[in-house]
Amino acid sequence: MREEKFDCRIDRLPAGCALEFVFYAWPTADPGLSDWSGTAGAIRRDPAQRTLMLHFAPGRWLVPEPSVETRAMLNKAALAGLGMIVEVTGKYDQLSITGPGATRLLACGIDIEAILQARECAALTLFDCPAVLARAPEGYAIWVQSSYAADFVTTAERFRALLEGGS
Amino acid sequence: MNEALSRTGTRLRPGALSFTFDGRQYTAQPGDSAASALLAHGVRLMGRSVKYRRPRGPLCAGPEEPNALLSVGTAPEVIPNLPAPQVLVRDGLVLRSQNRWPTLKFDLASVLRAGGGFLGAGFYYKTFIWPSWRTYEGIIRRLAGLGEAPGRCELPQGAIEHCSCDVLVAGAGAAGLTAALAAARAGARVVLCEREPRCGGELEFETAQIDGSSALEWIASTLAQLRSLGVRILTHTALVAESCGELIAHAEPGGLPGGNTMYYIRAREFIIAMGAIERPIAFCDNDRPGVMMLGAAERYRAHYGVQIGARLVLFANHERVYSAARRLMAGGMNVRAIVDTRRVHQLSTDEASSRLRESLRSDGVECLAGHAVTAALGRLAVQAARIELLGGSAPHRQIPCDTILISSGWTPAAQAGLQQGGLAQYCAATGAFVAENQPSGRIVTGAAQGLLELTAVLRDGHAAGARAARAVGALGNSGAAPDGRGDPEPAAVTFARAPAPSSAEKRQFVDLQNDVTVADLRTALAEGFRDIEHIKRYTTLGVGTDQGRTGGVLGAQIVAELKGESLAEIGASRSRPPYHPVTMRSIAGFHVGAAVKVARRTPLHDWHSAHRGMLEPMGLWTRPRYYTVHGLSAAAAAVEEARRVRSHGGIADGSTLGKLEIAGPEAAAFLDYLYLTKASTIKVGRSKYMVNLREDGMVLDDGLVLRLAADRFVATTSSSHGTHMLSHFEHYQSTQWSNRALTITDVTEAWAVIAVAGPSSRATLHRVLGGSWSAALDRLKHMEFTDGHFDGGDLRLLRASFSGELAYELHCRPASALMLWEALHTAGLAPYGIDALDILRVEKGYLVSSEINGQTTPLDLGMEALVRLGNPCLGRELLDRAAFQEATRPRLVGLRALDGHGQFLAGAQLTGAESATRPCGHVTSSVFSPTFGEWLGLALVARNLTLEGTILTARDPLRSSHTAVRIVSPVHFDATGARMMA
Repeated sequence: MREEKFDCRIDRLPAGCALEFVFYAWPTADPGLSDWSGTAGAIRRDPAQRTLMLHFAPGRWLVPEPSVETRAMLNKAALAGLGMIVEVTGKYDQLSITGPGATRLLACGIDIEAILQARECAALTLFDCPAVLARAPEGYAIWVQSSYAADFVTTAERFRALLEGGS
Repeated sequence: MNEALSRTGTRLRPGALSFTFDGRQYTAQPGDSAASALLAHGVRLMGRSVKYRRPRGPLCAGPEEPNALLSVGTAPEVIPNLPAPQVLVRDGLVLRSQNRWPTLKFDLASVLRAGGGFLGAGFYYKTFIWPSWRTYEGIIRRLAGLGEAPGRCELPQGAIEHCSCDVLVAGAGAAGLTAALAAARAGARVVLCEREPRCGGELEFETAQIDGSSALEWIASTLAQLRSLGVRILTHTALVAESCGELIAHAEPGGLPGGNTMYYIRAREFIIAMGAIERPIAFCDNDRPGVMMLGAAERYRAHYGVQIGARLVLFANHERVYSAARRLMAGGMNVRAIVDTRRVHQLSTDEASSRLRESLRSDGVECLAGHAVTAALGRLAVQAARIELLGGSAPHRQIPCDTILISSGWTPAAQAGLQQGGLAQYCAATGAFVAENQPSGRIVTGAAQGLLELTAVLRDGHAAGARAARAVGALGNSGAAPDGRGDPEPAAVTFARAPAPSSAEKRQFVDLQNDVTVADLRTALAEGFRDIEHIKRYTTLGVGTDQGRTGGVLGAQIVAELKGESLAEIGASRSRPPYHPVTMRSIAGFHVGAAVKVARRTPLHDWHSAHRGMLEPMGLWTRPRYYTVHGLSAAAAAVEEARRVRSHGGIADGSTLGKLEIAGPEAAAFLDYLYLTKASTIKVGRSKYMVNLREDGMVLDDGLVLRLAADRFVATTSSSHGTHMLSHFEHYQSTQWSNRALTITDVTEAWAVIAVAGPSSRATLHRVLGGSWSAALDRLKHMEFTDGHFDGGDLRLLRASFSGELAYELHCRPASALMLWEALHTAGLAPYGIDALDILRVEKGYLVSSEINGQTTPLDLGMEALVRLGNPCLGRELLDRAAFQEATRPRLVGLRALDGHGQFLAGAQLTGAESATRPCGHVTSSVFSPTFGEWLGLALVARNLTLEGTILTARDPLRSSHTAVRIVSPVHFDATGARMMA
């Protein structure tokens, strides 16, 4: 039985430029890649804890709002013949789900704690929508494929209302 | 009896709630169930049986209740068949009894009782043969069924939660609590679920001491420890099934939908501690209101403080009946007699048991060993028990009473242990079946494993918890097993039914919910049904909402007795999930109503919706079929849109096209492998129509491939195939092209696509895109493209046509799509939908999934020129199979009505002159062409009949249409492509 007041917030964030970087082969033994996380599920953040790159599948990174430094890093790897940069601006809609009830809300669709037990981000299907999910300071950041975004938000809002009503 | 007299020592909160039952108002205390509240008011008659309409009262105190099923709510929003012990009373609750008319006490249909003999097993099959079953079906269906289906019922949406844990413990009785504590102490993450509103199981009323405390104190202390160890305790939550590695539990607080949750739990270890269910005894009229399970009476007393009767007779076959009698007397009830089916020499001889029996006798309780209750007397309520000496000739006697409490032992609740390879094994200790052969990760413990003595239950539960913790690597100290002492060993001697003449067996009820009697079981056996599973289906034994929990094993015992075999030989019928009734709404989950499945939307979705686009689901996408215009039908609107494109121009939303970006030095070679023609020969800045084959040579999909750079391509796929083609590409990348220098990225949503088609398309684009794009517009040849920017956003301008007209595709980022679309619309181009697109492409002979249907090769579709290029791609070799060259293979052709007026529709079968019944092909697409003013079509026809001018008949018996058609070229319109190339 739920005893605490359910509290969760769903926000759609403005869309910006996004890139994906895909390695031809992963893992790679190139010694020049010390900046790249070796394990899928890792997130590269800046000192202010903003997300720079999400290693959401083996050898595949999502780079939202790439900075100059990040672009340089991607270009370096591409020029080294290790992989390709693909611009995917518009492919994803970014959402944030925050608050104490965020985990419970997402658990309506998938066992979120188990998914992120040993990783910070993952590509998954959430409420039947393909998405990339990442831990964020007060909840979760979600990049849902944009054609699914409206249904995703509708479903999430419906569950939020349900959980609020049931508290 | 008034309520004040019937309540003593309740654990409910003080306060008063008001509810109605059959229109009469009653009070209840917060926490009361419908059954406890009504019993507290002396109401025992709560329903009537489904077949004979016999008066019934509650038998149990849990969800296994077979009799007291109530309808909750007011018409038309009524929820039927809720077990009264499960319904938590709320203020204003409206309850209604079922299966009666006009009133519960005076039910006209109960005259069927007189016909109990002819309504026996197989009655319907044997009786309603002449003239036909249909003659009687309506009447029988009106009489049959549990309760009445609601006229309307908008049940509240249930929640869902997916979670995981190291150890899931199902059942929070003595074994479950101990197991959860041992596992949690060792460091495992534990979830404990309990179907009842409270934990403790039978400890709630059993006289027990555990670790020096009373049972209730121990329960409270254990729950406090569990909470402090972070154990998640889910009450009101019944484990109902397991599927795909997940254990599914359903919470329905108060027994009513509302606030209900479906839990999908991934547990590394699963401990089944779901206890045992008390078994009834069959005797004449054992279904009378006032006949109740002994444990149920104890629960009503201990938890709700309800005295279920004033004068009690207890009827059992085990030692615990004496302890129970003492507790009921302590609760203020008058126990008149204890009828024990065991002979004197079978009674426990230990000092405590002897002393207890002696003290009961000295308090005026008649203890009758070797006796049985052979009948309950009374009509709407028990008035007396008829008692006989077993195996003797002494005359029977009657003991006046208002309640007969029965118990013939306990059936382990082993349903969950009988899935995933678990096997039912006969257990002599319980006289029932336990679940053996558990796969790894599952442990059955406590009463569910046949243990009925508290000390053993606590030890076994502790061992189970410790073992589960070790299995998940939680190696902390599980502590010591609690030391407890409770009711004595039951020492039961199997007893299923009281002796009765065969004429009375039709009043010995085995399954009370379905009115299955001993006579029914005898009939089934006599008619050749030998296996318990067949007997179950023939008699309906155990197929109701209680799923045979009360009557299942009892029925098997009686079958064993009738057949002269042991229960072990008879076996138990298979139990299947859900183990506990679940509201269909909960199973349906969150995808209901309009959200029955997820829908994909283009960036222009809202515009289409706001401009009267008739949006329809096509695959997962939602797309406009046509745009409604006042006074025009759907077909006419589409024709008008197509006519406008041919005469002037139009715009269509093509964002749904799949788009895969294939990049890397080996991208071209990879595409050469996957497509019938070579991608490596495409020049940068050009595109090409290309076709994918499956390994068997059939066409899988088609689309344009654009070469963006030497090492970068975009392959477009048909809208419905985008996800499939991504999987197809990735499959061959990971199996035959692994670790090669290429990448595949789905960029479908990264690019919105606006198709601009028609003679005015170029001029309009000049106006809209402005001077910076003028040179490109003038320069671009068919199938060429150029990249640039427009209004700060990326824009790819591709000259390509799916209409046969001069046409362009604007590929832009989704954020720019609406602005571009509106600019084109303002510039005079009206939108056209999928129906108009279909007309345009059929006129031009272009293909969609109707033709590329998974059964056609490129040779069937007239693509010999592409095949002759000889690219050794996937599926190419099999095109040379002799079978693909046969004369009966289909071939794409065009069709027109012979008289120029006739209509023929897609799906119609085509027949030749030789046979009017043997089809030689079928119509794949047909449209009314505004260009030609007649119906046109595409068809797949046997190759030997495809000569242009051949006359066939399009036969469409479902739509009563037979039209003579003529084979023509599939390219009906602008065969030279002059308009497209203009």
